[in-house]
Amino acid sequence: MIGALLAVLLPSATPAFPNLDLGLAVGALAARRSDQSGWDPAMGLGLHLGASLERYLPGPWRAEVGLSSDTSGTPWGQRSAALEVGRWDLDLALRAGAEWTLVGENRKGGGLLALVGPRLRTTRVSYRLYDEQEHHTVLQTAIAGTVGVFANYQAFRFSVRLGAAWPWDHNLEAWTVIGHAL
Amino acid sequence: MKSSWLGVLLWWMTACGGADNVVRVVDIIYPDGRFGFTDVTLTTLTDLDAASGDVAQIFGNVTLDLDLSQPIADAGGSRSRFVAESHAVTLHYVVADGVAIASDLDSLMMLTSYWHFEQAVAHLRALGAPLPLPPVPVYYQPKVKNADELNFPAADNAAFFVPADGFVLLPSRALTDVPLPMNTGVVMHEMAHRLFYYTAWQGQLFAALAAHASDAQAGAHFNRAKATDEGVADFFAAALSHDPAFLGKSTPVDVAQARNLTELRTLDPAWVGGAEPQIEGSYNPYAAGAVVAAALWKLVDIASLGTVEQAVLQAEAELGAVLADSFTYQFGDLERRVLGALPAALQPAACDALALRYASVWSRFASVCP
Ligand SMILES: [Zn+2]
Repeated sequence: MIGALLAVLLPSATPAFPNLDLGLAVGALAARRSDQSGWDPAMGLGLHLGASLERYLPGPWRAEVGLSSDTSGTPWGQRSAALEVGRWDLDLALRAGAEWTLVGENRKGGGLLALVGPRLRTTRVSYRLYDEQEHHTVLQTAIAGTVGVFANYQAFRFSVRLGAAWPWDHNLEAWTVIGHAL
Repeated sequence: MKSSWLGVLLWWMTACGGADNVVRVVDIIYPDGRFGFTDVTLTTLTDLDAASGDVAQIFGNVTLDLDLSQPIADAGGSRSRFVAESHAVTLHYVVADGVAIASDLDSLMMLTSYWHFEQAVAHLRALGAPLPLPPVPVYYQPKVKNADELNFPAADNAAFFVPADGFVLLPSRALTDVPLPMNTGVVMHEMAHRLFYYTAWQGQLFAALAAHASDAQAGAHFNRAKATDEGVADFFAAALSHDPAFLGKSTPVDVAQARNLTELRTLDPAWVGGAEPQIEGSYNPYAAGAVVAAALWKLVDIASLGTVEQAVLQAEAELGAVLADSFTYQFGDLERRVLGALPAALQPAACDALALRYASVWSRFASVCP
């Protein structure tokens, strides 16, 4: 894993598994406020392990497993002096779909991607009322989808994606993923 | 293979299902008046996501337009004119062990408010109050046009906004402790205003104001009735929250102390005329209101709390038979009726308890306190 992370930073000459890639994802999230008065920004960070399946399946198929974390809605908690509410999410997502190369070819090209799959979200809600603290950790499932554009340059993979989930979790997500073949 | 995937997905989707309206809210849970978290079942809620049910519906992203240039229709008839924009809310929450846990402060505030509205209505109904009223809209943290012109507070307040027959929960800015919408007493106070409007004013306040617009004394009568309305509202707030200092958790010490119901307060002769006292050029109904509230609370030393509450409701109903028509109100008009509605055996002690407080208008009590 550490080696793979380093690979993101240090281009290697010949990837051992050119159909597998590991990416670092940085997200900008917008959470619809519960009172409908606008959107709250939030940040996300994640790791994506992806596989291009064109060697095994007919068509430009791709599958990914992603682990990401975000503080949706209220990055640092909302508070009054007596009361504070914080929320933190950790998502494990499986995604499968297609990536269509529209420009160039396989290792030097770009195109569109569309992926969808189940997402397991661990949400931790924390409350503080005066000096009383409590936390709740729950698992929630959803179908999460993402669409975006990608570009490959030798062993590097870049993509920019927009994502949302069903049931609607009040979030719109935009992710930039920088990856490298393993 | 495909069907087993679908099965797993369906199980996942249902495993995170509904919460049967059991929600975690903030309430007074310690005998010393401290607030804490507690799980309650919102029995009147019909749509948890929208914080909507049989007693109230909470709206967000609201713009109120305080256009007072046109006549106002009673009982919410002009609501669409005053509420320029409003949207159904979508609460953010997770479900843990069957309990909905709000996952942002706004959702926690809205759920807690709904619980307090439900409690307030249930409490008044249990006393026999005529509250078969339709669900009340609650405008959460509205933007208010013309707020400055009309001296309407932009923050740190909650109100029964009579022109829209709805409640307004303003954002908490300067007030930094328990937000007002989470304070049981504050919500009950506002609900008591709605009850006063529909009982004492018979839901015809604006019609009465229009009919008596040319009466030089109408303003004084209205001010005295308004002050009494504030006092009755604080009394019910203290009754439901079992806390005569219910404002203390949400307002600065001086505001809370000026309304603390345990103080011995007397009706200043200068206030009897209905023009004084004033704050920033406007009549301040809370000063005389605090006298009314403290007097009613004092009666709880003599009769049970429920007995006094029922006497107040009966007095409001009796007032309703005359107030809107005559548009005359003097201090003591409600209190005298409250005393008259108490069991006869308790009336002498009750008269004694109020004599000093209402010395400035004691002649108005002659029919009950000879
Ligand atoms: Zn009030």
